[in-house]
Amino acid sequence: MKLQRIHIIFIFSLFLGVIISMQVKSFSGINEIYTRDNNTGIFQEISILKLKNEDLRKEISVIEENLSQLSGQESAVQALKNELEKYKKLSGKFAIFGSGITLTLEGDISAPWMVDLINELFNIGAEAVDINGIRISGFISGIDSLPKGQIMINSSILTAPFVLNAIGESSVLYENINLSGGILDRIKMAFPGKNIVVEKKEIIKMN
Amino acid sequence: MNTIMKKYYLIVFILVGILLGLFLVFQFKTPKIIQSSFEIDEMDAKDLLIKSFLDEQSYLQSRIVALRKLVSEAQTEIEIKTENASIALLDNLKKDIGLTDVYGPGLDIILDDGSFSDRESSESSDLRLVQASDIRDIVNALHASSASAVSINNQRILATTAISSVGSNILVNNSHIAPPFQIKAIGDVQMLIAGLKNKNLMGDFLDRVSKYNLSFSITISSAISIPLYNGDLKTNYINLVNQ
Repeated sequence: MKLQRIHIIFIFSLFLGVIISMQVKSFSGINEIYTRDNNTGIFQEISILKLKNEDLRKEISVIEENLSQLSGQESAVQALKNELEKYKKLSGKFAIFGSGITLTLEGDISAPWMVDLINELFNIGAEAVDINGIRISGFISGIDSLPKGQIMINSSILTAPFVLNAIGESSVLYENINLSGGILDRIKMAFPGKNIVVEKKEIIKMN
Repeated sequence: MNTIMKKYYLIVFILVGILLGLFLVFQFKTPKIIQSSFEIDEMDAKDLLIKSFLDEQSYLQSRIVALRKLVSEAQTEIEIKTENASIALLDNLKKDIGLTDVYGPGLDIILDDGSFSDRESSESSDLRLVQASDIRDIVNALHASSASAVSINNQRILATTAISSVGSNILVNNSHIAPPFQIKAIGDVQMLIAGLKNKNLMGDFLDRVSKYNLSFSITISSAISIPLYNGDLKTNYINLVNQ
């Protein structure tokens, strides 16, 4: 009877050991998810490089067409207008609008995580991003955090809730920002209980 | 005595059962990490494929830089002939966006992986490696300290630049960059250095530099040169108001 009890306790201890070791292994896995960068695979790297090269080829075609238009007096004026319009859209100095998504984050967030979120929006195809009405552009892009959980951009102090707008293909942005294990999941793991709402928008205006 | 002992064992077994149950729940709630496994020949094929894409990318980027310079020259010609006021606005917008070469005083920062680390064989989360998030924090700290231009391994950083990682590789503007990472910034040198020392902005990078022997050096220079942006610019979904 005593021997049987010892056997039972031994088997239980063994089983417990196995479970504990599996658990420890899982936590090291969680650590990977918890890191600020996404752990994507080799196929995605190849796919990104392929798409990037296609984009570069398209850009070369656009610039070559622009260059050829600049050789004639009339077409040169049109080429200038086209280029001017493109750069006005990108500069952050002119009001723009377009389709996209809006993210609303309740509560405080630190500067590095906000940087990661904005970075991810551009990474998944956003062409323009603003936060609480301040557009991220060439001369406004550094983000600092203040002791009371506010965010500071270019001397402007922003408080929660943080509303980020991103102009781009709304369905692509919506799908990619909500990917499992993506930036929103990582923020929620870093700030337990944080509420983040993502909405598709037909028209987003940025000043 | 026998009854007390029985109760004692019962409580112990119940506690062990609960503990076991808790572990099982945690275990099944733990997100699984998907890891791929490749044979060596497949890895070689992948490396070759990536190399061919990177070679093509370098060529395309240098072609874009050359073409943008030709466009600027052609526009200057038109300006001389027509005295077109739009050219001045165009030039200003190009400067704002990052489509001109920039020179001035600033910092030359070099960072590299820790000693005894191997980027090829390491896990992407290896703390001895420079992470994409480290580079993002440094670039953000520089911008927050009023840097007027920043580049990474000679690639101009725009406001729209994404710095991300795929496995242990780091991508800037979706272009692959390899260590050592050279970050150049133009601006007020003292402000830039103060930004790089700000722990609020730098995440855990400064701690990892001392803990894992990551290489991180800052050189002040009176003549930093940062090239114009060599990538694509997308405005497919942006419309101007009042146009």
